[in-house]
Amino acid sequence: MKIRRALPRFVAAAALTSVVAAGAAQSVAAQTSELDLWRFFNECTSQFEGVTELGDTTDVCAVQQILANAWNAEHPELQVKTTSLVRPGIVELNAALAAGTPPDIMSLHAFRIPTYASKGALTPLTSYLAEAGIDVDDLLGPVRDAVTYNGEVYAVPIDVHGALWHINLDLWEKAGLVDESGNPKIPVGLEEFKAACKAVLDATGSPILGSGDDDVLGTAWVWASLLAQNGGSPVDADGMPNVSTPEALAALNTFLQLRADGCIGSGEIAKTYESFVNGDVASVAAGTWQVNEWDKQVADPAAALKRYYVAPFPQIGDQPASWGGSHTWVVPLGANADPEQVKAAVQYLKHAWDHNLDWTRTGHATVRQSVADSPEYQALPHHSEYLGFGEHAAYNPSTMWSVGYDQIMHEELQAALLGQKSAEQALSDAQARLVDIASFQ
Amino acid sequence: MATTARSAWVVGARTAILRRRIGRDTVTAALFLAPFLVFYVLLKLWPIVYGFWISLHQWETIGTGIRFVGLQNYSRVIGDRLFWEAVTHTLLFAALATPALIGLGLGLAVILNRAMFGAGAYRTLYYLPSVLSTAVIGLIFLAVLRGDETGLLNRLLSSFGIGPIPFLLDSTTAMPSIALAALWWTVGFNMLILLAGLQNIPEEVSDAARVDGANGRQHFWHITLPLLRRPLMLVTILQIIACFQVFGLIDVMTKGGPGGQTRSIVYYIFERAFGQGQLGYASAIAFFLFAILFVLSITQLKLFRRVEDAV
Amino acid sequence: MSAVVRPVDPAQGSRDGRSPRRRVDLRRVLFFAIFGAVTFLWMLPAIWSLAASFRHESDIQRDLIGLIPLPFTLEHYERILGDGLVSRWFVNSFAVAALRTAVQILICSLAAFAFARIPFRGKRPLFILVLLGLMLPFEAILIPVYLLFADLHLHNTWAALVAPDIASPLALFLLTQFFQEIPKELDEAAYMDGASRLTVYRRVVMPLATPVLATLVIFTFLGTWNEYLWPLVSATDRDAMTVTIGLRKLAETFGHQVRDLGLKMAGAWVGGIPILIFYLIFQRRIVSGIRLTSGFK
Repeated sequence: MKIRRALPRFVAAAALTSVVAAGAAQSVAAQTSELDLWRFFNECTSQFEGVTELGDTTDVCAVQQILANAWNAEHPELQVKTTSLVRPGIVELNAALAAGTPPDIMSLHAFRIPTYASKGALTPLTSYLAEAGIDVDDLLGPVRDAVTYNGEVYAVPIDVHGALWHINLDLWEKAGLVDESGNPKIPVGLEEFKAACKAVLDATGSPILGSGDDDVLGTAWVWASLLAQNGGSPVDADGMPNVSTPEALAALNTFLQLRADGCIGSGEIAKTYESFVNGDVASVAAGTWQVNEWDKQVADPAAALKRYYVAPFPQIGDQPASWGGSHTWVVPLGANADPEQVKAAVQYLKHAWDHNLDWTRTGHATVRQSVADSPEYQALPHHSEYLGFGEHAAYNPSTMWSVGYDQIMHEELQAALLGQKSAEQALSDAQARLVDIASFQ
Repeated sequence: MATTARSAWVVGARTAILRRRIGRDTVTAALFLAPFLVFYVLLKLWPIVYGFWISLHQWETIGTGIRFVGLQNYSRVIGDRLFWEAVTHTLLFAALATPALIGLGLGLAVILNRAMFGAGAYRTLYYLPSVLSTAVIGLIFLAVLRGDETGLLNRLLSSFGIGPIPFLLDSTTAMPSIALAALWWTVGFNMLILLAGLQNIPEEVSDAARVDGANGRQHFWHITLPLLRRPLMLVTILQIIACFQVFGLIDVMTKGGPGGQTRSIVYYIFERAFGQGQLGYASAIAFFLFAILFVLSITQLKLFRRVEDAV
Repeated sequence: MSAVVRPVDPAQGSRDGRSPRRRVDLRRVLFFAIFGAVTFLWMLPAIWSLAASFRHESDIQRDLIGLIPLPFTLEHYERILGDGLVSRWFVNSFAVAALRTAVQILICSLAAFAFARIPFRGKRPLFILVLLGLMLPFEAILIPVYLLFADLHLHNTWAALVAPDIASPLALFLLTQFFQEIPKELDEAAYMDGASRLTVYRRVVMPLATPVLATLVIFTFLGTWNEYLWPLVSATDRDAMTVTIGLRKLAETFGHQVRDLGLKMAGAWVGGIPILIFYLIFQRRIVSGIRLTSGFK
């Protein structure tokens, strides 16, 4: 009787023990001479196992993976272990930081740096960079500002990416917007833009700036570009949110007007891109990351898109500017990290730094002036067409309340674009929400 | 319960045996409950308590700068326009999805309970979407609900002359669209539970009713449905709780849009906790949800008890 | 049309003894024709998904909604099945789902037996305490649970992936409800023969619980297999990932548009096959359920 009564307890204990044992057997032992590298950019370990030569690949995951493989082949004493994240990787990072087990290197969007740096989660790298051979002065201006917080450099930038103007030259030619040498006649300023818009509408029935309401690119980043083009800024002098200003409203109203006129497209962005690839839309707003993909489409003889050009985002305002961002490598070991560990991490970052040109073959723009000036860079497909946009990149605000910026601006602007709210209401609601986030700090 | 002479004797003998058991019962119960309770306390109760503790602080997900603020987060939630909008959206979702999921689940269970050619195949088909994970369902329905004439649903509607509807960009159709995706995804599970319930209805009951001349509809309403009370109650309560926790589909399909019109309570919790790093505030919202669900569940249980007693 | 509700084993697929008259036959045929058509429409999203898994990515980019996979390609499936890590992920997913299902059913059925059959003080408040767990979203307790496993150094192990929801209020609720339906006379007969509680649990109650057990097996196995948020943060190690997370990372949306759709759909079906098989095996237990002779009140 007693044995029988004890049976369920025994079974449960046995089950628990076996679960724990099985689990423990699966755990991965930590190594001390190992760098834990976390990044988005997809997962492709198996695909490129053993590959250490880049060749002419343009796939984002391939480049990162092969660079890591190459490093591992040459540095058996310091192996880099890559873990892929679901972009932007914040969920995994936050959980790891909460547990006190952050990775050594992590890919982070530049605009998040102040948030994490101010909470002591990131290791300041300024003193380590020169020693490792990374010349901070080689960085493009806006990029350098984006990775600096309180005077310290917290990251090694990987790229500049942004919104560009992808053009179907055949359709532009129909609208009379291509010159004798086959280059597009890029309109500058509102009047020229409107004129070009009309020409395109008349000739092709499609908007001159195809876009979408369901994606942050088609809402917040277009607006941010217009705002910057008129010299405005979403941040005030004290670093607080500033999106309910006359300049902001003017930018939004211009946006709405151009939309109503059919110059800026609407609808679902996936459909817009599909139409572009099928030769039905004259030109679209899309990211640097699309360049490769669409270039490949053009190479297909059956493709409808035959002549493809990539220009910087249209200048509708007074000065050239377009939304931009930057991927960076950070070392989230905190303010009191072991210097040896940080040094080891920065060594790998130097490796990435040296291969910045290889990374730009994916379509992203470089962060280094020296690379930007090089003939190889300028010879990359389409790069010469949209070179220089990095210098006029309007970044997301790099502040403590940046974490919600994209999502809040996208949502409120979308509401305005879809007619759910007036432009004033949308901006005022956005301002209130950003202030609310700032108040949590 | 049927009472016969034999049963009376059983009752008498039973009592004697039971008297012997009373003392040991508590110990035995404890043994049976122990494994469950250990895990439950460790992995559900303690985290709930800890979660509540977190909600009383300004607590960043990243873990530094933690300050005790008492009930401030809670008063903040009460004044939060987005929270109340999320409650409305979630209620709308539950109001749309629950009757559909139960009604359709029941209908399918009834239809597919009989012996017909391929009933098993049909059941598998309706269950099939359940084997796909959230992200996939979201992607599929992004294609189904595409706003222009190439969307699957729009193509179907166009054959009836109804113009292309931008399902996910129109605030009136956005949440119903999510409900549709949820329906397609999980109706199979409800069908299974109700099927099991139907299977439990004793054959004699059906036969007796048929002998008495009950026709199909009478049979269903007066015999089947009352006997399905328990599984139906179970499915309804579970369904409402699940609906109130809708998150994954929203994350993949609309991210709370358009213009925030599909933001659900759990989506808001996730945004605040992981998107904006405000764990304390997010925990407070979670406890509000907890309270809402608690009240809802108790109310439902009481309602069902009253229905049971009345019948 | 008579909605005859009679439990029948679908494997037999026999028609009932009463031969329907012609008129009823026609209506029945019409009904099932319509039902078949509606089912086809209902299945269109799944058909689209399956077709997409066999189409070239560039074709999908050009025409998202095509239902016919021509030109046909197996490249997505090759990529997934050829990836060495994917089989590792399958093993993880399967082990975790199977372990959790087994342990959950064991400890929850034991506890349910106590609730349904053993009188003890404090049963009602304890039951309510357990039901509370049903109502809290996992997102709210993610960090406390995550910290617990971090302190135990159990992340990237099967234990961490199995443990959450082992003590499932839902399973307990379902099992208790079901056990309560089983007539107590059966228990009493056994007790009178000198059986212990445990024997009654093992020999009387559990064998009769096949329908609910089968339901739970399907439900828990499936739920664990498709879990997303917890494995995302707990199993970050490439070798420790589950199929759901691994495939998600394999076909990431880099940039802001939907990409690798064909690959994702192939991954979805590859990932769904094991569960489908599981379901096919266990659903018979639900459908050809045990009939209770005197079960209604």
